[in-house]
This record gives sequence, structure tokens and C-alpha cells, in this order.
Amino acid sequence: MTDLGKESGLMEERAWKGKSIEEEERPDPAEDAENRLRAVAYRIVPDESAKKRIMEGVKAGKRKGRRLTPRIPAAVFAACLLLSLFCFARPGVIGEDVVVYAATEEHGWQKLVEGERILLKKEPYQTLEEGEEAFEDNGRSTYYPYICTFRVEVPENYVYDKQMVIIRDDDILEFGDRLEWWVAPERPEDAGRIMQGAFRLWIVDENRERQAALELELTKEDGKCYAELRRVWESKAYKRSQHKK
Amino acid sequence: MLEKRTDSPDQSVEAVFQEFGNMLYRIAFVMMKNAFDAEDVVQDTLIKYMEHRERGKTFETEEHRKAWLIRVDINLCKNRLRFYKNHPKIGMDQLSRYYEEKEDTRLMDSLLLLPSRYREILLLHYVEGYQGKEIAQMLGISESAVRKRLERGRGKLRDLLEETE
Repeated sequence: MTDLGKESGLMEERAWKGKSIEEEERPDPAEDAENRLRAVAYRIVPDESAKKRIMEGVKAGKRKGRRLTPRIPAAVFAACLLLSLFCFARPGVIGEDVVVYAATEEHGWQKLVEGERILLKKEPYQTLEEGEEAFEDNGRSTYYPYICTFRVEVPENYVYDKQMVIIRDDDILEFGDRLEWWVAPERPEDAGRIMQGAFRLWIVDENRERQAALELELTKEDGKCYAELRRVWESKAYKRSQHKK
Repeated sequence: MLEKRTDSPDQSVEAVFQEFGNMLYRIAFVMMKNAFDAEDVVQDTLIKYMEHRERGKTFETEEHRKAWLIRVDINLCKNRLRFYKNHPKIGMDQLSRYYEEKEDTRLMDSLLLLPSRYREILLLHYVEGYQGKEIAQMLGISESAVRKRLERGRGKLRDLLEETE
């Protein structure tokens, strides 16, 4: 593709527009702008200091954000997760120090309690621009008309990592102590179906040792969004440190 | 698919940056509309490239490598855009670094005002010279969607240029 440039692009453009090459001979000022795009865009280059910063960052293996990306196959990752849960598992009460609140229509910020499913507040989020469609040709949607919000409180000196989750076209994202569930429109073929996903949070200490884990079960049903706190597991080390206090 | 088990000799990250760095930066700049995010995206793309190599994956040809890099670069831009609810419009000061001619600034400014779905298609087609089929494969969308977006993007670009005339 090295020689694929303006020329081949124009040939295809002609075909797409259904115009003959003869017709194209007449200069069109607007089209001239498109043809100039290449030359204009090619002037955007990183300067030497930017190049240096990029390579320094690459060499340092710098990563943005706090997400832990598993670099092992999913099956091995799942097995390790199950094993670690088995080791640390203690089906018990919710740790007092780890609290999740959800924005609700009826009660404002509502604390999630294990086993209790609550109806979330769906706030308007994105709007479609004129001429844009909610669904792509492949049936997916990257447009989010609604958003549901959660707040997470963790003990001092602890942070949390998460397991990314999507529910169909929806995204669940983390912004520090705030979680956002970006709700996409329901696909026509999903009408009447219940969509569900589990969002896991792991509370880790400053040494990245996992201390607790909790799971939010997120459900979409009849256009409504629900959340339920499923489980909290706490490590023995965490229990010991709490006991010493 | 794109990843194959044969490879061309020099595929170090430095060599890749040398060869494709400007292109990756250009795409990221147009998508993100600012130099700071563009730098970060290029950096993350190269880190992903290193990880890809560490997993023992290689590319059949230079073109496969280039297409893979563009795909990762654009996906990282999209991920980042998702996180910016109200991503700022590019300031003229950042564009003026590259352009002296008013017409050039106006053209690039108009391109940056387009929604990202049109911007990426126009960029890949007119600037990087990719065909509809290749763009479709790269972005994981149908060829007809590429065609439609190119048409709409072109129309919107012309409208914007006329408005600012």
C-alpha cells in the first residue's frame, strides 16, 4: 500500500460517486480541498522534543491509568481468579469500609446492600447529531443516550482495580472513585431479553496485594437498569489489619 | 488475519517509530485534536506493539504491520475520546504551529470539526491513501459503511468550508 496515495483514492472516489473520469476533468474547488488534505495533513509531525518524550515513555513502559491489563490467556486468568477467590473466599458480610453508592431516582445516592437489587437513575447523556444513526451497519451502537452513576468509598491507603466489563453495547467505566455505566440503546433483536453483567472491583493495598473483592451485578430489563451487590471477599491479611486497629 | 508467523528483519520499536511515527502522530493528532493526547496515544500504540512482539507475534509484510499499527492507534484514540465527555476543540495556537497559509489552517480546522467517525475515514482515505475495503477491514465495519461515511464526511467538510469562506 506504500504507493496508495491521492491518485488511487481519487480513482475510487470517482467510482463511488458514479462519475466518469471525463466529468471529473472539470475542476471543482471543493474537491480541490479534499485533494489538498494530504499535503496539509502531512505537515503535522511531532517535533524533536515530542519524539524524545514518546520514546522515553515507550522505553519506560509507561502506562496510563490504573487498569491492570491481564497479559495471560483468559482461561488461565479465570483459573487464577477462581483459585484466589477460593483461597480468600469467605462468604460473609459486607466490609464496613468498602461502600458503594448508586444514584437512584427515588432516594438520591443509595448505599448498596448485599442481595438487594435497586433501580438506578438513568440520566440523559449523549444525543445524536443530525444525520447520525444510533446503530452502526454491523448492528452495534457506540452511542450512549443514558448514564447510571456509582460512587465507591474505600479505606484510606487502599485503592481499587477493576475488571472491565461490557454488557452488549454498554460500557462500564471507572473514573477514580466514580463508576459510570454508559447505557446504549437496546438492539431490536434484544427486545424482551434481560441483559446482565458482573462488574468486579478488587480492593488492593499500597503493595497491590488484593484485600477484598466485590461484585456488582448489573441488569438491564425492560429498558430499566438495576444493580445488586453480590459478594465481598476479604483476605485474612485485611481482617488481621482491621483487628489490630 | 493480519498477524502471521513470518516477519521482516528489523521490527524493533525504534525502527517502527522511525518509519511510522509521523503517520501515527498525524492520525492521533487529527483524532484527538491536540498534541498532548496525540503523543500519549503514539506512546501507547508503541507499547502495545512491544507487547505484541513479546508474545511472539509477527507480521507477514510491512503493510500488515502498518495496518495493525493504524488500527491500534485509532482504537486507542477512540478509547480515550470515550473518556473525555467534553473533549476540547483544538486551539488555533496548536494548529498554527504547522500552517502559515490561512487556507491550510481553515481546511484542517474544518476537518477537525467533523465528528470522529467521518474524520477517521477521510484521514485514512485522502491522507493515508487506503481503499474502502482496507479501511473497512481496519475499522471492523462494512465497506458500505465506509462509503457512506466518506460521502457524508465529504459533504460535511464542504459545508464547513463554505460556511467559513
